Amino acid sequence: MKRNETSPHPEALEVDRREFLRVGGALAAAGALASAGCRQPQEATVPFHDMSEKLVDGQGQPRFFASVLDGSPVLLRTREGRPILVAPSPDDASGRGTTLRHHAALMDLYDPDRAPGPVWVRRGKGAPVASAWTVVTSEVVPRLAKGSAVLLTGPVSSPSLKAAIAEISAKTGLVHVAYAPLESDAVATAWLRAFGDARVPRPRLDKADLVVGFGAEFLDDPSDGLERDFALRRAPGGGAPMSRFIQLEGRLTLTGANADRRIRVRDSELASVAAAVAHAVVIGQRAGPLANDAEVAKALAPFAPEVVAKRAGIDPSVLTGLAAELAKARGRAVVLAGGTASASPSGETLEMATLLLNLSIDAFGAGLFDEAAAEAPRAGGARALAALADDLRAGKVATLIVAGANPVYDAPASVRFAEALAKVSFVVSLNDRVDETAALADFLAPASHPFESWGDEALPRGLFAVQQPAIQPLYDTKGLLDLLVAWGAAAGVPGAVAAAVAATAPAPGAAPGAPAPNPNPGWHYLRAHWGRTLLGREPGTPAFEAAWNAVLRDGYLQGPAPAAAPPRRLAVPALALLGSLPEAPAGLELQLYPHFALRDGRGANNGWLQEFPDPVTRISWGGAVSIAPRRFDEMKLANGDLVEVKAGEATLIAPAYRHAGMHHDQVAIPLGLGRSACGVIGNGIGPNAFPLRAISGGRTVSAGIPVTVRRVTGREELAFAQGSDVIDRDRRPLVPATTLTAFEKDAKAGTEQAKGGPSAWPEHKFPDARWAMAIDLSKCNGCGKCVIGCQAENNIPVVGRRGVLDRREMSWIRIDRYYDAPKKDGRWGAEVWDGPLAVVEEPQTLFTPMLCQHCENAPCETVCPFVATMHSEDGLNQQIYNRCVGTRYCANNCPFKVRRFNFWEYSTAKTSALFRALDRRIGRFSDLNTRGLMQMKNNPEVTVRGRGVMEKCSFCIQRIREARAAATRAGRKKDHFADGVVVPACMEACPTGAITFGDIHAPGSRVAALAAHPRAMKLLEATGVKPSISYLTKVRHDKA
Amino acid sequence: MTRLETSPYATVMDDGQLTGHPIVLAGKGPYGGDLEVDEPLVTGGKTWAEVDRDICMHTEQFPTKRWWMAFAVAATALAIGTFAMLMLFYSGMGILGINRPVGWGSFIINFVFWIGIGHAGTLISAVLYLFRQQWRTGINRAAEAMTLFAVACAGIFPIIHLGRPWFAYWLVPYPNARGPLWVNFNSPLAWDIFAISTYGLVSLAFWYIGLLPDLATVRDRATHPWRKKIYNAMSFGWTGSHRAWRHYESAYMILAAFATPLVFSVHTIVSFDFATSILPGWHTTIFPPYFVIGAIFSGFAMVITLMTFMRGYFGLTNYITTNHMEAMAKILMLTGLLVGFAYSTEFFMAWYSGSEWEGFVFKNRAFGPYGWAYAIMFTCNAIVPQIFWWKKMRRHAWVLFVVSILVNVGMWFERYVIVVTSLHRDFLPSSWGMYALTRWDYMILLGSFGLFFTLFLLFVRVLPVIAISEVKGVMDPKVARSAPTDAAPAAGTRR
Repeated sequence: MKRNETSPHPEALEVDRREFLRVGGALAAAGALASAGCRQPQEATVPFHDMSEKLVDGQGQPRFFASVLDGSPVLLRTREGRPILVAPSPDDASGRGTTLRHHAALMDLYDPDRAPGPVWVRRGKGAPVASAWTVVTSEVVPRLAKGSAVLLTGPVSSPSLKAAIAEISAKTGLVHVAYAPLESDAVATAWLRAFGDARVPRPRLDKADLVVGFGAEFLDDPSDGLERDFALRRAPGGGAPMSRFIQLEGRLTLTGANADRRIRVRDSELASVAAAVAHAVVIGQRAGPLANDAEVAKALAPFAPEVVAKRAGIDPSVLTGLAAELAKARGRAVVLAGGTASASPSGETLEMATLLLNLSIDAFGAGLFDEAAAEAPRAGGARALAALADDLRAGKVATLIVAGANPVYDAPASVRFAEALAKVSFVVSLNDRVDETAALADFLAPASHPFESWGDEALPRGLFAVQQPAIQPLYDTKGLLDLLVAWGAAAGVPGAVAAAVAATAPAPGAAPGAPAPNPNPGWHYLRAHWGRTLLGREPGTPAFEAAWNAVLRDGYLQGPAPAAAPPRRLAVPALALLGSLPEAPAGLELQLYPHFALRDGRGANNGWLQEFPDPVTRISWGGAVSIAPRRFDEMKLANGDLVEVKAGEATLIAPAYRHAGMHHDQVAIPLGLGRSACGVIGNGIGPNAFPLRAISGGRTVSAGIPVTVRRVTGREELAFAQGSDVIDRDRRPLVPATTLTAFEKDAKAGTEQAKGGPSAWPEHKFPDARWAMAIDLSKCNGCGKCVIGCQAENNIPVVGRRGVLDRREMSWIRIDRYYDAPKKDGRWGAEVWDGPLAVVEEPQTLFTPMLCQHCENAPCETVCPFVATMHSEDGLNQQIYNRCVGTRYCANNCPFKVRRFNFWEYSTAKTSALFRALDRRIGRFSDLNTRGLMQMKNNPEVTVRGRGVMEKCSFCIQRIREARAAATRAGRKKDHFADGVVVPACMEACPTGAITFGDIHAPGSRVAALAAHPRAMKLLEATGVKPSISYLTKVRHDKA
Repeated sequence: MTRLETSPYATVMDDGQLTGHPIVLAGKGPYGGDLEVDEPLVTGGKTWAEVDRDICMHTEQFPTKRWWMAFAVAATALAIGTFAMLMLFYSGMGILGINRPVGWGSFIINFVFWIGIGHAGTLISAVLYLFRQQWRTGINRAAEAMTLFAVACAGIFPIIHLGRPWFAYWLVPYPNARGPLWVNFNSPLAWDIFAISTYGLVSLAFWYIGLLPDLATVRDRATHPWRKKIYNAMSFGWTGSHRAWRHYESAYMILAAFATPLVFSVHTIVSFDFATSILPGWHTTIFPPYFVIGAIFSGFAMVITLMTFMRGYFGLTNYITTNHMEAMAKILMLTGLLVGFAYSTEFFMAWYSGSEWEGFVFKNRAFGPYGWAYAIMFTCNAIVPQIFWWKKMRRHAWVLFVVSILVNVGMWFERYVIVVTSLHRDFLPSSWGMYALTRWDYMILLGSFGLFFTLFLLFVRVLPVIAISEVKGVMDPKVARSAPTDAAPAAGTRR
């Protein structure tokens, strides 16, 4: 530096060569180090522009929108204009509840594979080209006006959409076809023939003492909301006595896994078994109103229990015993079918036999069916689609508009829809992406997500809900209603014209040329329709606006009560359905069941749903051919070995899976997988089993299909989200469970475990609130909505198929599924853990939601050298991401293995081609988590964790701190929190009320009462960790 | 029984003539009976000058082709490991085999393995010194160097096994501006920092002080002025005066006494990483002695491996004689027995405790999916060393070499068994899983061997591989002086 002072140019860089090289070398080394990874994670920020001024006040506060999605009322939580959480509507009078897909809908909204705007697809004869709405409209409208157009949709339950379609049809002759790929029409046919009315009332499971299911799947598909009613009667010691649930089925479903007694009957035999039970009730027991009905007796005559039981390979006493139970519980019992088994060729007979049973035990008369909640099927099955395909082939259709349907992917192979599509001169798809069907269309006119557009929905019990958008369309898309109304207006449909005019009119009193207050024609049409049909007033009048705002606030409107149904009287000709029973397959039969999370595969590009492990098989990211354990062992298979399934002409090669509880003569494959054009996340995941389906008697058949299975060479690892399946509770009392008999003798039954010794640690002091949770395993059915709810609330990344295979799932809460090993006399061998046939052929399934237990003496806390995990004085085991350096010692020392480590930087795209080539996994996480707008779903209250950091359930600490801040603001610093003040995301999502969370020190706290309940058990007492979560015993109703 | 410092009757023997039995001199006892004397520790009738030459020679000539080949292999392995490590820093822990039940994998296995290797050196130089085991003089220098290099290898792993290694310095408790962020003194990982750094520093100091007289010898023999200057600086200007020797001997003794408890404490504390957890299979009180014995066992095995090389390639058979090797084989056999005893005790305790978790872990360990690893461990560690009950085997170079390699394979698998089998199936069966090393794990393991051998090969080129002054101290002066010497005794000759 001294030299510089004497230098004529003191500011000049005056270093000699050596100095330059020395400094330069050090800089280069530092740079190399930095680029090698020693840097802070870079984050893409989401701009918050075009913000409404009014929002500024609410910045940092969530805003809620009551809306409706796919038939269920939901509550949308938004932050800074972004929907960040879908919760069930807190006052859902319709009883519909939500499904996994509702909770995961955010992923669909922010899906980067959605089309960003109209596309000229060119029928697959060239690369798709971006188009414009003006082009699409100019192409569609003249053709629509010309006539011979068909609108093919999925299920439609929106009154205003239906009205718009009807108006357009009246003007242009547009034909509307509604098609649901999973609909088998069996239920509707049977009810129509039996009662002359296809509307199906809702069973009142909350009123039933005995529920018998013949392949019922009301827990696998909870879209009709039965799971909540069912759970009301599943815990003993409440007000009403516990209900007993008996399930007869072929494949172990989630519903069957929750049954008190499960009888293995394959799908094709279920109809005759149901009829045999009816035979035993009506003829054997001479019980119920049908006892003296000669026609019924004649129709049931061929179904003597001895004959049927022999054919089905079960003991006749099982059937007569079941009948005796039903006869005894007459007026308090209900019989259900309607699952995948009803989609077998004998499905109509099964439904008919079920109806007979319900009539014979007087279920209708005793009010076990809610006639006010009766619903007609929202769409038809393959019958309608096959007719449409024939019309297309015959050239009767000039223009086809597809909205919300994807028949090229999901139609049975014999419909040959793609081929029929080629005969239509103009096809436009209104789906949200260039899917399998849209790829063969002329244009894609992408419809907005329901969270981005207006609509409505008719719900059971005379309720009507408004589908209220919570965000502007993210891309250049238009709402379905907007689009149809705009096209209808262009075609001169009067109602649509009025709406379109209103959409361009400036607000009253505004300067001429001012923009219209709401330019969406669908909104105007919707309001006009509601004004006309429900509110009885014109839009714009103060009375209408007041009523409309009330609907928007509440989310629904109680419409006129449905007309009281006449007493159910059986139409005698319907009994003929019992006579037309097709022969059961001689050998193996196939069931094609909807994937638990993805259902018909529409939302297959949803990482949350793909990663959600099937509650029974525990397979995520794909599916397998489920084979009965004994057959599986005889075929010398291992999970993941490829097998070839041949059904008629169609074959499919897929990995095999040893499915506990599967009927020996049945195999099953999930539908909804194997998409080829849904997007980067879902493409090519799992096998596509839709082509294996057949059409028989005009109905789609997905069960009871004769099939052969043989082993082929090769393996495909299955992504299991669970280690071992079997638990020996004598040795490892990790799931409190007992039977009703034992429970009545001793309420503490099932909670026995070894006690721990004294603790060397000083006790924690909890001067103020102390948070705790109780989980009632009798109410929990393992549906997993808590898992998705948590994932959305807490910004939990998706790890992908590879991540699950590597056992690096991130979800903070998981549903452990065990098969209970029968009691032994002290003998034990390691072989128990490999799933011996004795355990898995007739499994007793146990589900345990497993999350951080927030132990009082948390073993994770003592071992962390960085103090990154510690105990709060309100009883939380806190994880401090900033401090965590990632020794993973805490995870090793956690007996519940609930801690999750960020093995990768899930939130950042790694772009280096070199490193991606070296390990292919590196680039995958941005596809799953951060592409496009995906990060907009993130909850700003929760840190996005970087790589190398441990994380785990926080009991939704952001919600706790929010409540605490509110209490502090209100001057109540040392306060206790009443029940319901803090509701974590899992509890919010739980449909059955199995999860209770709260301040255990608050007076009258529910969680305190549950923790002190005789059924309560804290896990692993012998280790002395003292969890904050109490599990209440799973009680199995074993009393016939 | 008093052992004589040197045998007045020692004869000049070659290594091949050694029997491992005392020499019986009939009628030479003080009362006319037989006198049994030990065979000489240095064979070949070496003089002091020859000792200087034999040992310093390797630092004074250009490396041989064989050395270059070995160095190339070691440096390549090191480069591969370094590359894998850079990849790890770039991408995160995901490239490794660890997963949810098995949160610790090859890195912790390697860490414990190398720390274990690092035990023999200090044991040989400090504990055997205090017990006056003079045969240690032939091997202590190389064994201590081995210790340091093993500790260096081990020290890398706890840092790179962190999810965010760039914050590793947070483990050091010092007043800081991060809150201040203090470490959790309850955590055995915090204890590790103290244990390992203390051990590393004391071992380094002990080794370097032992080196001083020998560095002076190298300096005295040096002809090139630069070489003289460098070695002079390294030897801190050692003069060889009586005063210097006196201070040196006291310092050496004090450090030996200081290092001795460390031999036992380090691996005890490393074992606490496991023993203080609540995990069945880790949570056992036998771990501290079990780990220490295992460490001595593996350390001696590594010393045998290295000494076999040194004897062969540097012609040091006169200094590291078959008797030395046999002594080490005896220790190997004894510690092997103790390790086998520990394995059996664990099983007994698992049964005796009546705990389901303990019982299951040990059954699963031996007969579960990782039974093969347990079989390797048990065979290599508890069974194979039993071959040394036969003297012939103890004195057979190839047998020694193969057994020493097998023991280290077995000891690596011992850590594999402890870490992996306890984690992969613990309390909740739903969370059971499997663990396998990925190619990156293997590359980094290879890299650690690369680092170890690179450092060792450099060591044998630049420093005297045998403690010259100490070896001279155990030679028979009559023999050592008898040969004609043209040079004055070097400064580094202990008298």
